[in-house]
Amino acid sequence: MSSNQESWGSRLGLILAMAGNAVGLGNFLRFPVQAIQNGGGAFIIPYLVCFLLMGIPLLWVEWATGRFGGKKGNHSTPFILHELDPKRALWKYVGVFGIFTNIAVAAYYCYLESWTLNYVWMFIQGGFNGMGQDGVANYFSSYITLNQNYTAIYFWLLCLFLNTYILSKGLSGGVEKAAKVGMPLLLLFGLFLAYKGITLKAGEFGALLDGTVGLNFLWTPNFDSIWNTKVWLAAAGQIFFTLSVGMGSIQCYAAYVRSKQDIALNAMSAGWMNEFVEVVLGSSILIPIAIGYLGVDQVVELTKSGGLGLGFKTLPYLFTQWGPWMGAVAGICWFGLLFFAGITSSLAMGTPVMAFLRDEFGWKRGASAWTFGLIVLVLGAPTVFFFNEGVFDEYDYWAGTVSLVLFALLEVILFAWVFGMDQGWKEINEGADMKIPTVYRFIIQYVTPLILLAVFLGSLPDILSKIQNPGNHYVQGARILLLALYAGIAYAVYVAYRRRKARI
Amino acid sequence: MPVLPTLFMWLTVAVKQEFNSNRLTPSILRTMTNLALITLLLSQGIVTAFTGYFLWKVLNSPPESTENLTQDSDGDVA
Repeated sequence: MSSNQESWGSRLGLILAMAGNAVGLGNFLRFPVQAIQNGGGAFIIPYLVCFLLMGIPLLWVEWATGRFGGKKGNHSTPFILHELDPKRALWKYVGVFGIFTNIAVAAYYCYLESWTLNYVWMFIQGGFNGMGQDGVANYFSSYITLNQNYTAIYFWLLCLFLNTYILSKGLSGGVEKAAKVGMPLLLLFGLFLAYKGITLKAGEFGALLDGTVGLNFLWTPNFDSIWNTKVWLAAAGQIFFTLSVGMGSIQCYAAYVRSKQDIALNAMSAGWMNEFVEVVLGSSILIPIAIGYLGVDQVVELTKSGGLGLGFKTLPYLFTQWGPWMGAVAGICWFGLLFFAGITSSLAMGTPVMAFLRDEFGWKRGASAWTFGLIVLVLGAPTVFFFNEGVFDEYDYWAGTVSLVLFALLEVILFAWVFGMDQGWKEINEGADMKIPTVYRFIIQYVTPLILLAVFLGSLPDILSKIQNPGNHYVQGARILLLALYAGIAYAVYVAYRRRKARI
Repeated sequence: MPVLPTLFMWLTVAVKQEFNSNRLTPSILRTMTNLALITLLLSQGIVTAFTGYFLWKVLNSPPESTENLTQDSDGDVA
């Protein structure tokens, strides 16, 4: 039996940690770009429908399975899922995704997080002052190609150390404290930048247009897009990324909730807080400021390659137009909020790995945290050194996209059809501080699995074309590494299962 | 953190000044179409209302006992 008996210090801390897990860089960089590319204001309709029919049910399912597993001393998905259907060996290996995804995503996400830390440092030093737009863009390019005297590596290592150190302090002493500091600061920075974005005035500090022109562009609905399946798939995908469902981290956090503690209202609070950050703050910063300075056409062109370029190559230059002092404040706020969004998510990725090592092999907290850091260091190194060769994107595709959908589909089938909705519904409602609409019983059983199936089938052509296209040697190496990681975790689960049986 | 209330106060003053100078309202009316404005207000309004409602419910639900905080295997209070 597990000797891992940690617990959350307070309810608010738990909600902030869960919201921090969900709020990530995608809330600020991905959502506004997805909205622009998929019908502007009309995107919010499929987005909210997917949130109601897929996001919320998945949140309840993951919180409920997590708490259920936690009652029996299981805090990571292999044995949480096994607990739902102990007769079949299969689910343990499905649960491997809940550890695999977290390690693989942390491997590249920590690198991304370290960029934000470096940019905060650059703004503190006034490093972007006097640089032209090309200069700022070139800084980013030379940074990720490691041409800045290995600065990228130092910041990556610093970021990894910070994550591991906080994780080694435990749930309430590390993760919860980080969320209690990080989330309020993130909200504060976001409110300040949103205010600056929407009050940007044409003619002031070199702006060409009012910030509200950007808001108008973002929120003008193109209702024809609602009939496009691609838009619905994009909305469903965004809900996945933004809520961090299908990863195994929510189950792990929820496994430390006390057995009779509410999960229904907690899940809603954390989920809606994430939506607030995404829909209200995420839509009011990047696009209004960028359009205010660059105009609609140029921003549309820049967003074709995603929000990352706009956030890291363009926005720092635009901030410097506000003068050295205000530019530095805005830059620190922007990259500071991205850093807090990132670190509260990456901490959630470390917890399931630590929980597995502690539950199954009796490791101490510190040892399991530093082991996680070491694995991420080894696995993340190729994303740092071979970023331009496509390793980063390959990790993101297989671990950060495909695995999430597949895992979520299988876990909801297990919960609703194998564990059974009678037990499942009882589990969700146990200790609930709110009345869950009964219609959600039907939605969890039928609608959510069907939407997930549609999302998976919709992405199958892309998956098949990826498999048929082997890519360069670096990409092939990345795929082999990911396969080896999955196989290694599956073997560890097998060994852990044998140990459990031997104990019985 | 004492810095947080100070920053919040600073932000409030800035927002008040902005509305007093009446810059934002005409800018929105001049540059945004009715359709875009309605979409924005509806979307952000719904999301803000639900977020506020659920947080309010959490803050007003009975306080949970912290008595059964456990000690973890490392001996620290978790």
